[in-house]
Amino acid sequence: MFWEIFLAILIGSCFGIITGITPGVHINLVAALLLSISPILMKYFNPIFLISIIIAMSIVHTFLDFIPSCYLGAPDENTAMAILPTHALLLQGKGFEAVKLATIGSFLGLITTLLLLPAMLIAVPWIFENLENYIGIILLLVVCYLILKEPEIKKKLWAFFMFAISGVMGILVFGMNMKDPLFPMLSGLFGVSMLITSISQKVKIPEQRITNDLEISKLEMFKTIFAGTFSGSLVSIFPGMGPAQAAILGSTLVGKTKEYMYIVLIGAIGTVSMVFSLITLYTIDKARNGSILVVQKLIGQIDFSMFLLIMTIALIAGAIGVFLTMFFARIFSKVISKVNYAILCISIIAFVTGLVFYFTGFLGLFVLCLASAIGIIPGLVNVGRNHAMGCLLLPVILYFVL
Amino acid sequence: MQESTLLKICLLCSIIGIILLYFIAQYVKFPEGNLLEEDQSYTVKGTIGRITQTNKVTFIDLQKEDELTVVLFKTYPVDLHQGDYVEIIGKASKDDKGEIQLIGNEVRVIK
Repeated sequence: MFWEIFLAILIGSCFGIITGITPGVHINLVAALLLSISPILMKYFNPIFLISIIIAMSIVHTFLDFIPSCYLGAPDENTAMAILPTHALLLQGKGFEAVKLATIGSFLGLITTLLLLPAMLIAVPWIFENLENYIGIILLLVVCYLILKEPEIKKKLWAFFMFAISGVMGILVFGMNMKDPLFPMLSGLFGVSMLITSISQKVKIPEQRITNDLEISKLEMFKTIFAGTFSGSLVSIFPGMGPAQAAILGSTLVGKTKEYMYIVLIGAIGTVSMVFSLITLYTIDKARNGSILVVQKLIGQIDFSMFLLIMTIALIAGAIGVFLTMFFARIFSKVISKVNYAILCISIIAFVTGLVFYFTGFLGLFVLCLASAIGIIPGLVNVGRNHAMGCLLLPVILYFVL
Repeated sequence: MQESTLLKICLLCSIIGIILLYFIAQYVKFPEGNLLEEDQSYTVKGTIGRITQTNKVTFIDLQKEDELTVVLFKTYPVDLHQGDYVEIIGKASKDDKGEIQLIGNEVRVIK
């Protein structure tokens, strides 16, 4: 059994490379594919082999998905909030450091979660029962705080406008009968809009250096990892909470810090939310994302020994994720500055547009165009792009409050 | 944090993880009950938890890692008691509620 599981972790890690690095390819897609062919696979393989693949893939994905976000400007739901600080570092020739920061956040978030496991097994059911009714109010207060944090009245109004218009778009998009509405919406708001801005500003990616310049104090690291672990846990405990909302909460908990620490926070949230999905599967029998839902369907209810196995797989996969991410970050750093960035941006826009059309059709294309148009506004009026997360926040706040 | 420090921590964690995996893999069992497919034949072993007999049918709650309901049609004599450890060969099917149960063809008491 040991060698089977070890092999499954390696296979899962390979899948995680593909899903992490390729924009638009999600772990849920691969997990759903594995589920659909599981009756055939289970004639030859133990179900533990299959779930080990899915878990390893899911964890490695959370590490590697920063690479397209940073170097290609193609974020997913987990990395959208980090795109501005990572892009800023890329333009300083420090793309590798940006990915390294995200990897630090991911791995330390994973380790922190595993170390806090005994407490989490008690805390998760308690938090789920007692805080669910207040999460809408908490998010509303956080949103108000972030809008009011803008320095001038004019910027506060623009921030409110961004929140409102993206929020209305989010409500309308979720109300449409569209498969995977998040993909065109987030790609437009945070990916394509940023790429269009880069093309219009004739951005040139400078030579990337493999550096270790950015200093992080132990206190800053502790605060950020703690905030990321706490916020990431809420994603798995409460329905309707996504990594974006967790990032907003987490940034409020961290308080004033260097902008690049935000990348560490987002990295932690992404991986912690995945690990916590496994914890909530065991403690409250809820699967909070697609790949974990597939695990639940394959294995049913899990006992303590299975849970320990799953956590061990997560630890090993996390370590593999670090090595893989650093490896691919070096490759991307060497290659990216040799490429004509405008042509690269256009190619990525075309690729993402093609994927959006393939998965969501003409309606998805319309949403992509609308979201891209809205996503360009923050850069023009010089307010934070995070307000565009109203597309997810407003529907979630209304879901909890109403 | 330097990249080399991060990689050293990862190497340590991966070694710890592999050692843990080696020990946990010896003990973990996967629940079979949920994985029986309709119309497939299986041989299952377990302890009889409860027996319910009617004129034509005997229902057995078989305790393994998960509980499984076994249905025996009384085409041959059965002498089974609660607590018997048995091996049953049969075919999986769904009951009225859509739950998987095993229609037993052969039963053998092991102890």
